[in-house]
Amino acid sequence: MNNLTVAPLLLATAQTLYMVIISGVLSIALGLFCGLGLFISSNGQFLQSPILNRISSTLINILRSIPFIILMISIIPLTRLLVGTSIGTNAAIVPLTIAAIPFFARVSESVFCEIPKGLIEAAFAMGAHGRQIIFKILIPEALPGLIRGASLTLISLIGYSAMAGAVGGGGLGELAISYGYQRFDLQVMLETVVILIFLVQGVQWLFDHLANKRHIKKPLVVSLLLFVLCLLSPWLFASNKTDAETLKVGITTGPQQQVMQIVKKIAAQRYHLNLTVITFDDYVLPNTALENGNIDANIFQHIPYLAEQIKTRHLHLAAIGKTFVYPMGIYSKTLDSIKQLSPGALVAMPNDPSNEGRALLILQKAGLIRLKPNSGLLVTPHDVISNPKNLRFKTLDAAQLPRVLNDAELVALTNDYIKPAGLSSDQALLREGSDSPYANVVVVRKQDQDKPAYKKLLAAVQSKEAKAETEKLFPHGGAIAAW
Amino acid sequence: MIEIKNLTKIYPHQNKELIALNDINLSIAAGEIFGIVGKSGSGKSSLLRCMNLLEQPTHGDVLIHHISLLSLNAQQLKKQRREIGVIFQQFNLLESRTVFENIALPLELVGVEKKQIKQQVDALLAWVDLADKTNHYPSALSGGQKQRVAIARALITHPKILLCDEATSALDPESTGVILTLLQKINQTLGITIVLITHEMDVVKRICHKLAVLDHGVLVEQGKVLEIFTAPKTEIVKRLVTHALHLELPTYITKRLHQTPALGLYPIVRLTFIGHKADQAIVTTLLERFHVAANILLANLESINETSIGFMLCQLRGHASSIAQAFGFLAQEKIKVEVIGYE
Repeated sequence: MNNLTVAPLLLATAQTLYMVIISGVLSIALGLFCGLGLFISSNGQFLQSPILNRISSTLINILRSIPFIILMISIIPLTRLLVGTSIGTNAAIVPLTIAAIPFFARVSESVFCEIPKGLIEAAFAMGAHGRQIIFKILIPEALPGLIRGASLTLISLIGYSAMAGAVGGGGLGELAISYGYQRFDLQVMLETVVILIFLVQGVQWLFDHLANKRHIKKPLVVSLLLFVLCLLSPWLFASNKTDAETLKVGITTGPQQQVMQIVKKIAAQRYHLNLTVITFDDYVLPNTALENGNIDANIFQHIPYLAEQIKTRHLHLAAIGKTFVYPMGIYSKTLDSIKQLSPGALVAMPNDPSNEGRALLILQKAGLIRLKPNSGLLVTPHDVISNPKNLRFKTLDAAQLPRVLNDAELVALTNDYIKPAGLSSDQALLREGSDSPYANVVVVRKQDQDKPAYKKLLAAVQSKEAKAETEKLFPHGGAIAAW
Repeated sequence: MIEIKNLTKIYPHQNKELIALNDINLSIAAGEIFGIVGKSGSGKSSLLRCMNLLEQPTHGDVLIHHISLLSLNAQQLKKQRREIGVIFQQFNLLESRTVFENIALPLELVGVEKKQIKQQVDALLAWVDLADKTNHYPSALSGGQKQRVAIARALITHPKILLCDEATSALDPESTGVILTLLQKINQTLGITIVLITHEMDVVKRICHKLAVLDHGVLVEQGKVLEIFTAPKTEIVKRLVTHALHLELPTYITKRLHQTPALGLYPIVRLTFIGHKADQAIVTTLLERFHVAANILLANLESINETSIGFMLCQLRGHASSIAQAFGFLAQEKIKVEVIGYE
């Protein structure tokens, strides 16, 4: 199952290092500033200011209590203001930094609190002034503790950066999630996890070593150089660009990533069109990013889902062409035929509204249940008006479904999860036909839908090479060309 | 040198006021070693901290060289503080700096150039006998060595005054001796005025010229050490002195003691001999001339400011009239007699 060569692993490692180094240096510098401020404004210290101290302390607590994924989504406007985009590796750096600043602020504050009060008093008795106290006493004395705190911060940043995939930031964590969690590729998951372990161990070892030494100048210079190198790396390592048109295409993690490699090649060779593929971990952000103009097209959703998104989120998006129908099927580990279905059987299905409805529609078509008339595509178990077999419905995260085949009699699987479940499409007890309304589409912004570049994109997506690759990845009718 | 006038320090404490220092008046002359003694919580630390304005007095004034510290602006105060060295019980050395760098710190703060710093620090290191520890970190030093580094750091700016905040309280007896000798040397050869606060009368007895005793924020007694040790006025100071001179009677004796004379009881007295009197053969004289036997319970010879003082606790046995005559003789000889009780 290992389709991954060394290159993506290296790229992901580089992305993780890039995110961790930039956000690490920024958050440690700013966190130190905040921690120092908290300390010297605290009660009994030389810039005592209870009000300022309480306000900043509360602010830090608020920032620290927001779950990282929520923080990442909620500061999107700020992210766009600072780095000009809300997706990609750079966009991940902003929330990473903002999450780590209060963390390091608290760490450094507590390190400063451990400096004996007498030292500060002795310095005042020598006639030192505030700035001298900070740079001659506080920081040098706190240094070993600050260095240990910095390693804690960097290690938690490595952990947080795994969630960067949600904004298309890439990195090792995203690789581990997309291959390991969503595609059941154990080897890649192990490889990424091993690299992550080495990274964490390395940081820990290096910083412990530094904390025991007293001279900080060299490491400081080295980390600043690394920081600058990272800042410059987009220019240094930029691929030798041609003057061809470039489109950014958003997709979601899964086998589509492989198909897109073919599409990319065809687009470049045949249509002189460069594609930058941005991979997302979730199903909401690709549309947000498209609406915002951070990407130019996305290919991951079917028509009903797009319609629902446009309606509920007031998006200005349009489909310019169909790709494939990936038929959903109802599978079972225990039954050979749907006729063996026992009364009260448990049916597991995806928990996103459109796929939930999709599963119920298959069951209705097979005559197992009856749904409220004219209730559309987004039906839920509440719309079931007749259930002679007393089926019980359980909705789960899509990636979780392959794992419950032993616990539920029937499991509704979307195409992406058939292979990971160790099944093939022809083993489905029930399956959508070619008449399914759930064809995937290439989606762009409404006002751009007539641009010629998109015609080229569509042509590459619908090329026979892409079709052959898709059918190879989804054998036994797992993908039906819909154009 | 240092004058403290009507100094009061009040701390707010849980909606109440805590009076740490109550109307203190003190005058410390140039060249003195001045001891301030008190139990913990007596306010002695606050008093010391007021002397360089690390603590702001609530009322009153602190004058150094006749200049009120309270009248100085921030810049002048920093300058004045450089004239006042401070050493602490916990040494307060920077763990991140070597011995050399610790001592150099006060000079760095005022921007003295490196070459001059090296010269001055090296000279002072030799003076406090730490030349071989130049590049050690404080964590590698003993308590006594740390305090010597702290002393060198305090002296590097050539102060006129050295404030010692329980400077020997964290040290073993041997290191205490070394530090006290060093303080004496600083006082004698550099002419620096030393103010030291301590809870140990023993420290005061060994090096101080003058002494003030604080109790619950009030100055209960002050004067020359010799006078206070030989003639304490207040109960608190008496107790302190008795303890410091190891003149407490064993409890098995105090239990049997009667406070009033009676038939068959003999007085137990404390005799204090000052100066050359300490050398006299008093016991023999009492026996030969007055037929009074002095049964010695405790005796101690001390030296305070180079004056020897003898203390003796004894029971005088003999006829009541002989004992009365003996008292007369002792008074005549200027030997101080205190009757502690009768047994």
